[in-house]
Amino acid sequence: MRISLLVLYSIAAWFSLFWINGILTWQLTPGGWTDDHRVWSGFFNASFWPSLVFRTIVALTIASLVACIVINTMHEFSREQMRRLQNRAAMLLSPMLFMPALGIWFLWVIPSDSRSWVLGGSAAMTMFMSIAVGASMLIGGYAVAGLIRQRLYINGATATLLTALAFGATAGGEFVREGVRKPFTIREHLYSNSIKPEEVQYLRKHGSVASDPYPLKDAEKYPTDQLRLGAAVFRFQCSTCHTIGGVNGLTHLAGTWTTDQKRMNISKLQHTKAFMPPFAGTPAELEALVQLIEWNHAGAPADWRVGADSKSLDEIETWLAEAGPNAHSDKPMETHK
Amino acid sequence: MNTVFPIGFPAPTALYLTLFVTTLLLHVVFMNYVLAGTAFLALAGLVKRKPADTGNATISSILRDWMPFAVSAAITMGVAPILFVQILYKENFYTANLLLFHRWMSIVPVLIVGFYLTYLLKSNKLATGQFALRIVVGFGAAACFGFTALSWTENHLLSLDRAVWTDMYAKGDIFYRSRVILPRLAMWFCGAFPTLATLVAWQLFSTQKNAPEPQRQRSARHIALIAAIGLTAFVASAIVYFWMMPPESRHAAIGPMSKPYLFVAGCGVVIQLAAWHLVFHRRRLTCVLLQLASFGALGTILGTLIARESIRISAIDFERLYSQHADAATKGGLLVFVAFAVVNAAAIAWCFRLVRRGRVRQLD
Repeated sequence: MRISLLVLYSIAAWFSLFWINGILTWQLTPGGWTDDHRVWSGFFNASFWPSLVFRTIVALTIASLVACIVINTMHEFSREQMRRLQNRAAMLLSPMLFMPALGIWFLWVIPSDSRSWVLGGSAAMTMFMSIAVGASMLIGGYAVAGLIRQRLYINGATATLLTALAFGATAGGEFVREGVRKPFTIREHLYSNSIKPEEVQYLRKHGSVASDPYPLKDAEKYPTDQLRLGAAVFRFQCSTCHTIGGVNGLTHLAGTWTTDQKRMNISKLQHTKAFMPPFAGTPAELEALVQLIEWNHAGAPADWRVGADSKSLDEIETWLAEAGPNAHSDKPMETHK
Repeated sequence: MNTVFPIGFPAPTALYLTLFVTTLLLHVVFMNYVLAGTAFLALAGLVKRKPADTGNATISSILRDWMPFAVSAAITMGVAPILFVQILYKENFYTANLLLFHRWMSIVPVLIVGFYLTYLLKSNKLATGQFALRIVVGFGAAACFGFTALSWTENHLLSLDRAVWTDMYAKGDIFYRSRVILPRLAMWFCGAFPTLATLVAWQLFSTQKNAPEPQRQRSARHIALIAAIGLTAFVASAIVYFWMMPPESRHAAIGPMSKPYLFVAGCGVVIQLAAWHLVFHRRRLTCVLLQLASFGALGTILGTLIARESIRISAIDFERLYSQHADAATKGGLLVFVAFAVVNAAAIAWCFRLVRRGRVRQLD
């Protein structure tokens, strides 16, 4: 009875993986959904199958390693009995051999710009990918050489260490999976700051915060209206991923740029950094954001000038037009079905 | 809307409303078991320990055994309604969630702590151990689920109170203040006890067949008492809540959309009271009386849920959302949802059968 219930439980748990995997992969490779907006066109997308099998193997791996820890706590067994149990549990690690092929399949089907970031285009993503691959290779190597071929006994400390490595590899992989979606939350449909590509032109003309009903929480701390506008623009367009002066802060990223450099780089944001969405506001809003960054970089003084003359705003408008309303990667998706 | 729920709405809206209420009803059944059950265990921990065959001790023992399972069931049963509520109410639901985001960030660890405390409650060491520790664990678990209930109440009421959104955001308030929060919470909390009593009564009915007669009688009287007190408190707090809610909400609660269901809820209360009255006086749990109490409880929950939705629908610009419901209905997936609902129901039934067969074999 227990085995039947466990089998049923694991099937149900796997189906949870099945559904969530469909949603996550759809966000990166929405496939036919982009055209017909049907559930199944998006669900069974190009990266669905490699991701599903890969995640299943990850689940088996972690289950197997946790089993090795648990077996070490079962003092009613002799060491030999523990070893045999562990070797049996380690059989679940053998599908790890398919991981490299599945990883390559996944990389093959994702958009080319996403692939390029993992393969050196973005230092952080390449590093996390390398950590995930390296940790997986260590676990896989130990599993095949030690547990499956030589049928070694694995003590609690080693099993815990391997499990920690497996979690590290999983975390690295998930970071990469989230990262390669940039600048989108849903590829071609929704930018990571919740602005839709088709809204960019409208917001550039009418303003991104003109109809924002929510006041700033700390409006009185800004010495000018322009800075207040900049703070509202920051909240609407940037704060999903950035802070002003903390983690991934705009002041750290752009504080040292010259004023004109800020104006141009933000106007052409999607070209400055390919994984950034286009700026979606008026030239005055962009200038307000520039002033906000400069004010913060200057230590948030009590007095601040009002930045930009009409010439600068015209320049910003020209740069925005040159950059265009689309993300750098807005083009027919390269998916290899 | 001058028609009975869900008639009068466009078909997709009616479909999602029906699915939402149906799945929420299932969640509420288990939620009630957890909310009232942990509160009961916390209070029972205060009472000086008596021999294990007293009514309260028997009920406590069942609750301690089943509470972790009930928490899992309540959480998993909460997934479907939380999906449907997003399709139905969108901006109102999301805004309240964002304004109370710190609450949702804290609810996850709080629920995890509560879940593990229910495992601790099961341990013999705790049951026979230090009084202070038993109190901490018992009240700790109850506080975790009570906090979750309070947060949902605040979230729901805030989602209907558009007028305070911007002010609340600007001030950085982390609490939504409204005079109806406590009476509404009290109504749902008190209403949880009759459901708990019904479920525990079924458990007693199926597990106590071979127990000594005096023990069965004591359990039956105790469970009937819990149900009756809970029902009385539920009705009293519902009246207070109704009296304290804004006039437009009051009007919606007894309006044409929910009137028949309120009648069902009222009948449910009367049926339950009658069933528990008979259980108390006969000192016996019978299948017929438990079926009556169960139907009554379901009727009361259903009626309360639909009155709740009527108030919500009247408080927001619901018609504006019809086109989005219609759009959601064209995306596909409904057949798979229905198919998996059937498969899951079958799997659950099979689990019951499997466990039942195992128990019978164990007893043999």
